Amino acid sequence: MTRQTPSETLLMELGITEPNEIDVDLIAHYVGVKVKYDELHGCEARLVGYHDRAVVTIRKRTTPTRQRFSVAHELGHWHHHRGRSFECRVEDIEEKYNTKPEEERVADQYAANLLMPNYIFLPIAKEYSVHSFNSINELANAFNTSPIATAIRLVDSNTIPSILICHGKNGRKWFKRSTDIPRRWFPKYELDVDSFAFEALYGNKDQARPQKIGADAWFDRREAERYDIFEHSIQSGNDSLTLLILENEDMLEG
Amino acid sequence: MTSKMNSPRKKLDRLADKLIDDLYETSDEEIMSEAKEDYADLNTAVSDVKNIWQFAQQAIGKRRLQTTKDSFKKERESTRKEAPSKVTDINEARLLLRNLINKTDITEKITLAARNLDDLSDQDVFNILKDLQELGAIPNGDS
Repeated sequence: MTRQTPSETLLMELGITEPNEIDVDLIAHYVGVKVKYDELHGCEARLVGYHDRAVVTIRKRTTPTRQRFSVAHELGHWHHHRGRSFECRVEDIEEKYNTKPEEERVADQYAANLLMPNYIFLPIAKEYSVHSFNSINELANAFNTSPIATAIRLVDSNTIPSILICHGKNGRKWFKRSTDIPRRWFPKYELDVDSFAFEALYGNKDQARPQKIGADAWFDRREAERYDIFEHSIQSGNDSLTLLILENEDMLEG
Repeated sequence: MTSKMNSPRKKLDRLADKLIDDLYETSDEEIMSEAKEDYADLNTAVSDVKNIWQFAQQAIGKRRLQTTKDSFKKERESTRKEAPSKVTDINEARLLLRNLINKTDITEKITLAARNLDDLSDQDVFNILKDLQELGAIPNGDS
């Protein structure tokens, strides 16, 4: 059983049981934070607190999904870093994914747990027999979150043994692996020409659904030649985003 | 007059204390045999109690959610006028903000997650001071 996170405790305190009940402005109000939407220059959000009350200002000119994430991120700072002054730059959860400062990662994690709490997210995610970017988009719509944040959540939740990888034209930018995947399955830095991601990145061609591919297209290990995996790659801005699903039990042995 | 000792809340607390005392005084064997009598299957008993507990927690939570919604609505409807700040000079404003952040007797009470102080635009500095004023860290209209 996974331990309850601080954001999940907060949601349970408010009896929240459905994705559409996760109203971040209302939750902020409950913890003494007033949310304002205003012009902000050069940043997405700001938190100013004194004693046990705070004001969060969110950039007005941005998407509602991004605003929701920013409010949840600042609530993460309010929970974990109260009484401190520090530099905060809210970025999309995937930006500088592997190199963010500790405070930012903690606030991102809090936000992910608040917007997609395990006790609501997992039962819904498990209703899908097959996961792909199609199911991720449906989950993102249900939880009012960005598809990338939702994909990261899905991989993180270990619902399926999977790896989420982002490649730009200069190579791999970041990746996220679910805990069931042994660490030896480390995705290649450069995209293999046989991968569907190559077509997504250079040929602007999204895959409609996950397809089987030799694991050696993604991993530089001799044993990879023996296995097939499922790949679903799509374009994401100037990058490609890939969901790899490793179902072969031999691959999952540590 | 209902004395504090006899308030419904106190009565309930006393009943709960009594039940807990009884529970502690009962041996494990007695509890198990009573549970078997009532439920036949112990797993059903455990799951029933868990459900009752969960249901009660959710009911309390939903009530709390409704109270929060009401007070949130009230806050949105109240159009409190912001007190004007006396600080209109940007250098003075930056100095005031820097002093507030570095002032030892107040530092631990202030939380600030924003851009680096030197990177803040003039408007950001004024707005942060306005927020601090709204929160009571700076007396209204007084710098």
